[in-house]
Formats: sequence, C-alpha cells, structure tokens
Amino acid sequence: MTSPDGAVLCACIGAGLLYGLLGSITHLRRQSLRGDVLAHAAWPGVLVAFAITGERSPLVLALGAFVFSVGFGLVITWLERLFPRLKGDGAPALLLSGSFALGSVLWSLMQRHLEGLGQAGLKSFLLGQAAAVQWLDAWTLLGVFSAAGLFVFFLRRDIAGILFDRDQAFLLGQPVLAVEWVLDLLLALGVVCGLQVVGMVVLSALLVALPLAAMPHTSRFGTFVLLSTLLGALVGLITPWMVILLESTFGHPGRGVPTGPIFVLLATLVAMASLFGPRIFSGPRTDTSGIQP
Amino acid sequence: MAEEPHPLKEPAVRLEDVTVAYGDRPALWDVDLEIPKGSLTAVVGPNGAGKTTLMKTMLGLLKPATGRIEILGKPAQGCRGKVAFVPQRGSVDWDYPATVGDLALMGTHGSLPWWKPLGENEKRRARQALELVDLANLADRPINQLSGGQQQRAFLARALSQEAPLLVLDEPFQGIDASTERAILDLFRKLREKGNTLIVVHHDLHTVRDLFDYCVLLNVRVVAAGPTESTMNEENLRATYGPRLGLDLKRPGNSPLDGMWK
Repeated sequence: MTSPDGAVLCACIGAGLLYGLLGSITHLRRQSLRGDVLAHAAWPGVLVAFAITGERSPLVLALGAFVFSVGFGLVITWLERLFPRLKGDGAPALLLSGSFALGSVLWSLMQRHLEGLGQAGLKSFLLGQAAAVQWLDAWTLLGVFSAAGLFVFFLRRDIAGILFDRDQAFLLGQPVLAVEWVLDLLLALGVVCGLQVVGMVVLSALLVALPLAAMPHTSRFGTFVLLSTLLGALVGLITPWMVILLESTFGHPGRGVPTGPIFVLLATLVAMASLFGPRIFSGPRTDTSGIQP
Repeated sequence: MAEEPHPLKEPAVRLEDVTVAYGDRPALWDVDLEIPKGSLTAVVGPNGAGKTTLMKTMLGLLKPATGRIEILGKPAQGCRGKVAFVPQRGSVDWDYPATVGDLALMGTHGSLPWWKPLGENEKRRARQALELVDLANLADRPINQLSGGQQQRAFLARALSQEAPLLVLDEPFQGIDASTERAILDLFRKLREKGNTLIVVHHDLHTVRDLFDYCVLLNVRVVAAGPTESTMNEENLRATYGPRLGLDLKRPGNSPLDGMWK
C-alpha cells in the first residue's frame, strides 16, 4: 500500500481539526443546520464564480463560495430577525435544500452550455477528491484552524458564557455581538476552505458527528472543545489511508473514491462508538463526587 | 391607580411611559415605575401580565416601543455588570457542558479582561456564592444532573458571585421546596440589609405581604406600586387579578389570599 500524498494528509488533518473545533461551537449554538446551509450554498457560489470568470483557479472559486455562504448566512439571520418564529431550525431548513437546488440547476444549465469544460475540477467540490487537493488547501485549512483556535482559546470565557446564556452575557458586558460575528465568519471561512477535501454535500455531517463524539466524555466546556478538535484530527489522519486502501482494493488507484464520504463515515463510526462505548475521562456516566452519603 | 413614589430613597430603577409590544399585542402598556434603592420588591400579577417582559425591558434585554429606562441613574446599556439577573431556568439548555462550579464562576467573568486567567478572587467569590445557596458540595457535579430546585439555586449562585448591587429574579422559587425557599428568602433579607436592591417576580402573596417591603402589581399596566403595607389591599389585588379572585376570597381554602385580612 502506498502512503498518501503529504498535501492530502495535512489537508485532511487540518480539516479534521477545524471542523472538530467549529463543530463543537456550532453544536452548542444549536446551529448545525446553519453550517449545513453555508456548505450547500458554496455549491452555487463556485458555479457562479466559474460562469462569470471562466477560471478554475482555486482562489476565484473559493471567493465565489465564500460570498454565497456569507450571503446565505446573512439571509438566515435576517429571516430570524424578521420572523422570530423561524428561530432554531426554521430559517436554515427553509434555505437548505433551496441553496443546493439552485446549485443543481446551475450545474445542469452549465453542462449544456460549457460542454464539459472544467466539469471534473468543479465536481470535486461536491464530495471532495484527494487527487484535487493541493498544498494550498492544506495551508489554508491549517491557517484558518490556527486563527479559530487562538480566538476560541483567548475568548473562551466570553464564548462559553455567550453560548450558555446570551442574555446573561449581555448583562455582564461581554462582547456578545462581536464574538457572534467572528464565529459566523469563521464558520463561513471554514466551510469554504474545506470544500476540496470534504466536499459540500457531506461537510456539515462532520460539524455534527465530531462534537457528538466528544459530548459523552466530558461536562466541561474546554475539554469538550478540545476533545472534539482532537477527534477530528484523528479521523483526518485515518481518512487518506482509508481512501488509498479502498482504491487499491477495488482497483481504482488515484481516482474514484471521494474523500468526503470516507471522512464522514469514519467520524460517524467514532461518534457511535463514543456514544455506546465506555467514557474516556470521567469514568462513570454519573459523576457522584461531592454527594453526601 | 398611579404609583406612589417612595418618599425616602432615590430609585434603583425608573421607567417612564414604557410600552412594549409583541407584534400588535401590547405586553406592557404605558408603564411608569420607580423602584427604590435598597428595597426588597415583589412584582406580582397574573399569567401573561408582562412580568418577565417588565424584567427584561428594565434590564435592556428587550427594546421598548416607547419610553425611557434608567437603572441606578444611568441608561440600561450603561450599567453592564452592575445588575445580576436570574432568569427562569427553562431559558437555557441544561445539557450544556459545565459543572455547578463553572456556572457560579460565570458570574465573575464580566469583571475580568480576556487576557487574564481566573484568579483566587474569582474562585473565592464563586465558592462563597455556592455556600450561600447550599450547593458547595455539588461544585463538581455536571449541571445536567441537577434537579429543578438545584438548577434554580445554581442560577442564583451565578448571580450572587457577580456581587452586583441590583439583583433581578424571575420566579426564583419555581421547583424549590419550602425549607429551601425559607433559606433563600432569609438570604434576600440579608442582601437587602447589606444595601442591595432586589426585584423579584413572585407568586405567593403571603410571603410578599410578610417579607417584601415594596411591591408592584402588574397586569400589562401598573395597577399599583408602593410600600407593601399600603399597596397590597383587596381593591388593588382585585384590580390586578380580576373579579374571579374576588369570588374566591369568600371561600376559605381556595384563594391565594386566605388569611391576608384579619
């Protein structure tokens, strides 16, 4: 069995770290579905960027994806503010399939008009493709992860307070709006720079699976975020090996098996094992320390 | 009936012409209110009277359609950190990864800049707060393993560790047993003696009469506000709760007002 390409390995680990971290935050904000919308909105974004410029350079496509992700994020926020009843799942659920449908319509229109020009490259954004991953992807993922990690580390008290009780955080004078704004931005950035590795269709499953894997093992905010991040790195480390193993076993070396679904399958396995398996840190499920007999 | 301003003390909270609406339904209508500094004030009224809305509006968490609000002499936005709020415990997700100790520490976070780690002072404040509500032995317990009453007390500890001069509490006795309620009411009295102002949404009219020195009767409008002695009378209560309460008054055993009048 050959070893995976260095860029692919680093990009997968970077994606794991980033989505473990962002996932733990979105989970506590109850915004997993919002992450799903941002990822799906990247698809029409990529296509529009390609249609306008005719270029396949990753920066141009990423910019298109970013603009659409942020745009859809703003629409969700706007709808929730306008119609308080849509709070929670309402607004994202409304836009989720819509954003992907928009991408699919654009995709079929473009196929007819562009006669296969650049299709292969664009298609890798759907499910992720190891062959399409470059060092630029790896550095971007690790860079965004470092920025997000530093932000969460230094503002951990503010973030923990805001996620638990927003009103209270306001009253304590914590920078609620600024922190929420940066977290939204990091989520949009994070989603966009992982498209090549994980793909937009299954990306949000990572945002859900990794924190769920961490949840049963801790009742501290810091440990929860850290554990979710590290489990992401672990899954990211295994993914490229798994892709190579499957490709060599089933005879399509270098093409065919998309990285995204493998990534998500492994993360789901880890989450299931963690939900049903023994606790890692705290030992018993029920912490009875300090209770008088 | 207009409220009688407390003659002796300057107000901790002042509301002028405050109206709050959800959609086109007013939740609070033209509220003028002054709550004196250093008082233990009860806010009383039937379900849907706008009690929680009043609390949230006076704290600056809800924007009124009209009106002016001052807390401790400043606009609501200007007194961040000086007001502690104990919301109804259903307002947060108790599956959040935190321990009782973490919750108590959260009250101290506002006074700490982001680059400083938690110091001895913050930990001491949190510990004292937990002792006051009798939860010190559960400091390491995850908050999703608390009973309703314990959750309520953990919320109270978070507010106490903030050491704010003004405490606003929304139904703090929900799910709390009688002896704990006594202990917490004692705690309220001690806090008032130290010069704190407490504003409590409360349902038990007996304890309001016995323990609170100021009260606000609310039913979308302020029906009456003033010292409990002179404000909690039959006429005002009937104006607040409606005529059904008046009927119940004549049947002992059925009314929250039993025994209030000798």
